[in-house]
This record gives sequence, structure tokens and C-alpha cells, in this order.
Amino acid sequence: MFIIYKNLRSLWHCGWILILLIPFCTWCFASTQAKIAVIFSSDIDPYQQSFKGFKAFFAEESTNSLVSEYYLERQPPGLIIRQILTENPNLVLAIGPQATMLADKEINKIPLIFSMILSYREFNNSNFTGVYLDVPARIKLEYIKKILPDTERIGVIYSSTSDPVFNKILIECNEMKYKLISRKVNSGKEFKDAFKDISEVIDSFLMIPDTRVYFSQSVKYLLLEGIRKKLPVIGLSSSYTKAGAFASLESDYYESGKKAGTIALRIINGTKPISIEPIEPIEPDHIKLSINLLVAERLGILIPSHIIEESSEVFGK
Amino acid sequence: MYLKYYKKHNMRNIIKNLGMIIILVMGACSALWAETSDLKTEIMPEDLFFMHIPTVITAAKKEQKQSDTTAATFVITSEDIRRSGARTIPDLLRMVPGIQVARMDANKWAITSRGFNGRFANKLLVMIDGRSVYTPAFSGVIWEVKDTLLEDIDRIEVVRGPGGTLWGANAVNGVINIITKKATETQGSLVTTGIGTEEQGFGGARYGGKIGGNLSYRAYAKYFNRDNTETAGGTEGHDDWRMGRGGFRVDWDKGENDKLTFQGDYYDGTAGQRVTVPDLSTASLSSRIDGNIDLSGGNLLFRWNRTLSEDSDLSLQFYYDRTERSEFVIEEIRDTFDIDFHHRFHLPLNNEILWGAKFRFTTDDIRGSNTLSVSETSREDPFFSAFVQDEITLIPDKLYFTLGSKIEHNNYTGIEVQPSSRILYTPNTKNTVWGAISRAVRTPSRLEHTIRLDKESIAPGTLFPGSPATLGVIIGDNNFDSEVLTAFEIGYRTQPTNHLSFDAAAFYNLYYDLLTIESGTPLPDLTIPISVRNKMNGASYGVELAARWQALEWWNIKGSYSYMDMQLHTEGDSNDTITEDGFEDDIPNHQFSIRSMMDLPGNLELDSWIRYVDSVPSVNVDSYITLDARLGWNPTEKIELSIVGKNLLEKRHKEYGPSSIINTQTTGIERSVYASITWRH
Repeated sequence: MFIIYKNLRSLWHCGWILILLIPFCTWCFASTQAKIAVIFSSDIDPYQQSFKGFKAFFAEESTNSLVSEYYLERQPPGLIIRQILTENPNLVLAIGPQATMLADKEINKIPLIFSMILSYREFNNSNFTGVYLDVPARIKLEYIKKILPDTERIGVIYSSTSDPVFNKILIECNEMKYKLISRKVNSGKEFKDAFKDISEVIDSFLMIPDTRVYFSQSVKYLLLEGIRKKLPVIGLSSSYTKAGAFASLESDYYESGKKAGTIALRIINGTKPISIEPIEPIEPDHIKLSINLLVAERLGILIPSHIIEESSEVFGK
Repeated sequence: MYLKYYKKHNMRNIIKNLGMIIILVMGACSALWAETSDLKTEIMPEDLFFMHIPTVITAAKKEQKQSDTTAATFVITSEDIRRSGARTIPDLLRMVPGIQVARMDANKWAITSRGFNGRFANKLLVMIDGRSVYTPAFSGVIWEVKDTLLEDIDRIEVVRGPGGTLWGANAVNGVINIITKKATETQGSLVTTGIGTEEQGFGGARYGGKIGGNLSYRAYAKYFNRDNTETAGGTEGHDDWRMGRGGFRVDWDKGENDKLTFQGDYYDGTAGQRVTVPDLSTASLSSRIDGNIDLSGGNLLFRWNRTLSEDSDLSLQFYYDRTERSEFVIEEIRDTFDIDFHHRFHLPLNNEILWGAKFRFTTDDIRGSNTLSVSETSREDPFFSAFVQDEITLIPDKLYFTLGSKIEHNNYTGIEVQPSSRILYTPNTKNTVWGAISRAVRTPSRLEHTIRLDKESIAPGTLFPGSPATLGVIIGDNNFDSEVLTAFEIGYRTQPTNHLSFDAAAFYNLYYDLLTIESGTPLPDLTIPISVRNKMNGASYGVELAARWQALEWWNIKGSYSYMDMQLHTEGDSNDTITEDGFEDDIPNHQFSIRSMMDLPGNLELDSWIRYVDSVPSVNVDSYITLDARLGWNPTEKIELSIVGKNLLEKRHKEYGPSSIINTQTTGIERSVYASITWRH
């Protein structure tokens, strides 16, 4: 009787121990799952596409991950940082410039991955690596050679804000034997005159990301004048191609997210961010070419059919 | 005693104004605080990749038409507005050749295009974002309530000459379209405030943001208080003016092809005026009344633009507008509902068709006074119209021919037809020649059909020896018909170098059935009935020139000159001896304007504006030259400080005479200075 009682009591104790162990086990199990905090600069479609690519990569790799999403549009930055620091994730993925700047400034001890930002941005934090948004100058010039073989002189308008981008284009143009005709402006107000100055002596025009130079009016002016002066304009993204640019080269956002996923996995597996080189969109599957056939027709440019087939988006069919 | 009262009253005004400005600035500052704590609204270079770019490839021809239009056009840009130092929309219009802008007192203007000026100049159609602000009560524009935050104006497009085919009745001698910026272009915060000798305090604030990726919004508020001007004798003109205004705009890019806009404004304020009315009971046969006009109103507008294909689109617009105006002589409440549809598409053989239809319903409640009354205190007027226009490309990129007509029906004159034909030739990218023949009509106003106005006192003995003091009374007449114009225009634009461009236009206008006032036989009640009739014809002609010269990289010069003259003649059976000379002598034959805009080192801007306006004999205005100057400094990208001096060459000058309907006192426009600060973030 006593033995039965003793066994029952032991069972009772064991049950309690098991109950107490459940949270511990859950914690242990959870600790094997990677915790990732994602900060979005905003809730726009390109960022969501990139995030989809990121998640798709983890799904393909069958890697367990617990993802928390934070949107700068919805919560104050300070609160987001406090929540992330409390959560203490394995890494933080910052999508877009505002999220990246915030993470760079406020998060020091957690590995950081940036995504959808320009390659000339500089960071204070050495715990940072990621995927750039802009297609490198060399790749753009190679495409220009392919789709506009008659181009010898390329026009660029830039300001002090985009000096680093311009310098890269200058170096690449010299190497590829293009003549770069450029005008440096202090603001968008000077754009029209700068463009008028160079438009007669260039064969095509290359846009670079610079908010001092480009805004809705200057873009509209450029696209219209480009058509009028029979100058092919290489835009920043397919929106520009659709609107009236001859062609654009841009990063594939979904693919960009997958590349960020590869970096995340390496970090989860123990690689330090500092030893991972940021990724630029250079591989063909990471780059999207869009062309506008209606513009090409207006400019009198015949685009070979293989280029049309290669293009991710074709407007004005 | 009066001085004590004045000082006390003035101090109270200053405190009230400061209070308003502080409230505006606090509101804006709280918006700024909210933004600085929120990184998301800062525009980054990366955002350029995701920017929605309006398609220009389909608009290329249209855009070409804006710069190479088949009409005498002039565009006032947002940069022109910023650097002009002007604080009102009417003052901005002074830079347009062929437009006559005359300030009557602190709060009233007479503005017209190509003649027939007056406080309610009736041959100029004005719109704000596609909403007509032309009042059918007086046939004209009540400029004292036409305002918005000037920083939010994208451009003001001015077309001199008829625009009836597209815009309908009353676009006889010109169309002004004030176009505000899209909400996407006014993101972030703006606070502006200033004070000066005539501008006794003004302030404005705007905040713009985004919800999601495609919906942008802005809201603004502004307030100003302007001092009395002075009469020729140096006394206060009782025309001080204060007004508050607020509004919003929401732009939603719904998908690739649909754009929705919803916007609205509300305003409330008072404007002083001194009115002289005929009064046979006084020795002077007139009474002078100092009073305020209470002005309030609001509007809501909804617009849907849909791109159907690369060369086809449509637009549907609806707006509701309410105006309330109360003064000693007249009180008016007016509600207007307007729905407007446009569709553009291409047909084979290079035909671009633009057609549309409009329905407008306006209802009013007009209460008169002893001086002015109306036969119907309340009235409802529906209005229908439809138009079609075909732009035919005869030689691609070189020769275009446009033919079209508008047909409309109104309650006063029935059906009106306004056809036009235009031709545009661009031999190369630097030269454009155009010509046009158009017909346009000015339909009668509500008051021209229903008014009874004590117009003037006729002194004893004037009509015949021993005649008693008599009252001339204008009586509206349902038989008064539309005034008609047939206009012949030619124009030439050239851009010899990238830094120099010229625009010239010449016109010859033939007018028929113009308004005359016909005196009747004196009645036993000591009144002379004066009726409105269409018994005058005539012609006007002139040239208008505009030039732009980028003299140096940092120095931009813009100039304009206009000349016009007019010959009118009344019909044989007319006894009107006033109107013919009145309009012929109401034109400043010569006007010129030169604006200089200099970008100096240290982020300084030095702008000056000289204008010459010829004499206007009908209202005893001598020719005058004015000089405005502005010194601006941008210590940082976000802050702009300005000091502006206006009418610097003389203490005061007169620009116009009393109104023909309500006999308001006109005053001298004084020399003034103001300082302002603007903060953009």
C-alpha cells in the first residue's frame, strides 16, 4: 500500500516536474529557431516584394525562423528600437533607407542586414552588411553598349549629393571608352538649362538617383525633351520606362530579398557581418531590363528581337 | 478721442492677428514635431526608384501643345510666384502681357484681358483647379475671395483671347486657370509668416503626408490682415481686410490607370469698403456708407482621371461650391453643383478627338437694399453644354489643324454656339507660328436680367430748366442678349538660343451686341428708367510680347509689353452716350513689365520688378511706373527669409475708378514693405 502511495507520489512529483519543464523545453526549442526582426521604411510594394523574396529563401532552405515585422509608418522609431532590443533577435533586416539609417544609429550589438539602399551610403556600424539597390555603373554601360550600340557620348546631370555615383560612372566610362558629358547643378532649378546645354552633344542620357536633381517636374521635362530631341533616356526603374524613358535597368526586388536571405543564413550560422561583402545587382537574374517600344519608335531606334525577349518588361507594344 | 479709439482698436487688431499667427505657427510646429520624430517622410534618393512617374509618352503631343499652343498663353510658374514678392493672386497676374490688373482699394481689383475692365470684368473666365470662380450674379470674378496658400500653386496658366470652344461661355477675352500642386508634391511641413506696413500680419502652414504608397494628402491654413489704404487726400480708406482660410487635398493613385483627387477649402473674413449711393433726401444727393463685406464660403471637388490606353483617357469631375456675401447694398448666397466629363481618343488618319459634356446647376438667394433690389429673390438656373474638338495632324510634328465647337444651353439666352479653328506650324524645334479664328459669347448675368439699381442722382435743372432732382434707375431686362465676339489671332514663338526666347501675339476682335444703357422717359415718381440693351458694336486690336533671357547663369530676366486700342460705336437708335467712350478710354494703351531675378553668392536672391501702365482716361488714372524689390536669403535649405518692398517709387498711386454696379470708393495704392520667413521641412 505504502509502495503504491509512494509511486503515486513520485508520479505526482514527476508530473509537476514535467509541467515545469514544458516552458523550459519550449524556450530550448525556440532558441534553435532564428529570431529575425524586420524594419520596413514603409509599406510600399517594392519593399514587400523584397521581403517576400527573403521569406521564400528561408522556406526553400527549410530554415526555421521567427520573424517580427516593424513598420516606421505605424510606430515611432524609438518604440520600434526598444521592442527590438527587448526581443533580442539573431539579426535585424532593415528594408529601405529610413529603416537602415535607424538601425545603423540605434542598434550596435545585433548583426544588421540592409536591403534596398544605394551603394554609396556609408555606415557607422561595422556590424552591417546587405544588398544594394542600384545596378552598378559598369553593368549599365554594358547594357547601353548592347541596346544602343551607336552611343559614343553619354550625358549625366548630377549634384554634390551624387558625387560618388558620378565618379564611378566617370571611371567606368573612361574604361569603356565612352565620352561622358556631364553638368553639375546645385539644384533641380538648374536642370533645364543643364540639359539644354548637353542635349545637343550627347547620344544618350543616363539618370542617376539624386533627389536634388530629379523630382516630378524635372523628370517630366527630361522625358519629354528626350523624346523631342530624339535622345534615349536610361531611367531608374520601369516606372520611368513606362512614363517615357527609352529603357531602365533596375534590381529585381524579389531576387534582392533572396540575396538578403543568403546573407542572413550565413550570419545565423555564425559568420560575422563584417566578413560578408555587400551584394550588388550584377547577376542577370538580379537585374530587370525594361524597354519602351513606343519611345524607341519615336526615337527611330530599332531594338533587336533578342533584346525584347531578354527584357523583363516591355511597354508600348 | 478718435485717435485714442483708433489706437485701442488697432492694438486690439494687432493682438488678434498675433494670436492667429501664433495659433497657425503652433499648429505647424506640432506637425513638424510629429514629423521630426518620424523618419518615414524624409525623401531619400532610393525613393526615386519607386516614384510614380506620370506617363508623358502619350501626353507628348499634348505637352507640346502647352508650350506650342495655338493660343496666346503665358504661364506663371511657382518660381515666378515665390520670387515676385506678391501676396495675392491678382498681383501675380500683373506679369502677364495683355492682362490689365488695377487695384481699386486694399481688397478689390479690376482685372481683365484685352479690354472691358471693371470690378466685375465680365469677359474673363477664371478657374481654380478646374472649378469656375466666375460668378453668374454679376458676371465677373470677386477677386477678394479667390486665394489659396501661394506656396501650393503649381502654376497659373493664362490664355488671352477666346476659349469658348473648350471652356464655354464668358471665356471671351481670356481664361485663367490656377492649378495647385498635387499632394505628392507638397509632402512635409511648411510654415510661413510675416509682417509689414500694409501687410499687418500674415501666416500660413501646411502639412502633407502619405498613407500607404499611393495616397497622399495635405492640409493648410492661412490668415492675413491688411491695413487700410489711403485716399488721394491722405485719409484712411476704410478698406482694411482680414481673412482666414483652410483646406485639404487628397490624391490617390489607384493602380496604374486611375487617379482620384478630392479637395476642398473653406474661408471666412471681412473686407471694408466705402460706398456712395444716390440719395435725393440729402443736399449732396448722395450718401456715403462705411461698412464691411462679410465673406465666407467653401467648396468640395472630386476628380477621377482614367487612362484607357496609350492614346486615350477620360476625366470626370464634380464640385460643389458655396459662396456667402453680405454687404450694405446686397446679400447673396449661392450654391453651385457642377459635373464635367472629358474624353480623349484617336481616330484613324491622325485625328485626335476631345469631347465632353457639362451640367451645372446654380441656385441663389439674393436680398437687396433700398439701393439695389432684384425681381426674383431666389432663382435656380440649370446649364448644359457639350463640345467636340478634332486635332488633325496634317504633317507629323510640323502642321496641325484644330477644329471644334461648343454648344450650350442657358436659362437667359437659350442655345449658344462657340466654334473655333486653329492652325499650328512648327517648321523646326525653335520656331512656331499659329493662327486662330474663334467665336465666343458673354451670357447675361443674373443681375442684368433682374436688377433694379439706383444708379445716379440727377441734379435739379439738368433734364430741363426747372426739372426736379431725379434718380436714374437701371432696370434689368429679360431681352438683354449675349454679347458676341469674333476673334482673329496670330502668334509666333521663337527660341533663337537656349538662353533667349520670344513670344508674340496679335489680335483683331470684332464685337457685336455689346451692352448699352438706354435711358427712358422720366416717370412721375422722379425716376428715369435705364434699361440694358445690346446696341453697341466695335473692334479692338493689339499686340502682346513676352521674352525670357537667361543673361548669365545667375541672372534671369523676363519682360513683357502689350499695346491695344478699341473703337466702339453705338447703333443709331441708342441714346447711350457713356458706355462707348467709357470702354474705349478704359484701356491703358501701353503696358510693360521687366522682372530681374539674380542668384547672388551666399544663397542670396535679389529680384526686382519694374512696370509701366499707361493712363486710363475714363477713370482719371494717370500713367504710372512701379518698382517692387525683393531680397531673399536661404541660410539653410529649409529656411527662406525675404524682405519685400512694393510700389517703391512713389508714396501712393491710383490704379482705377469706382465700380459701375456698386459705387465703391477707390484709393491710392501705397508704398509698402514687409518681411517674411518661410520654413520648409
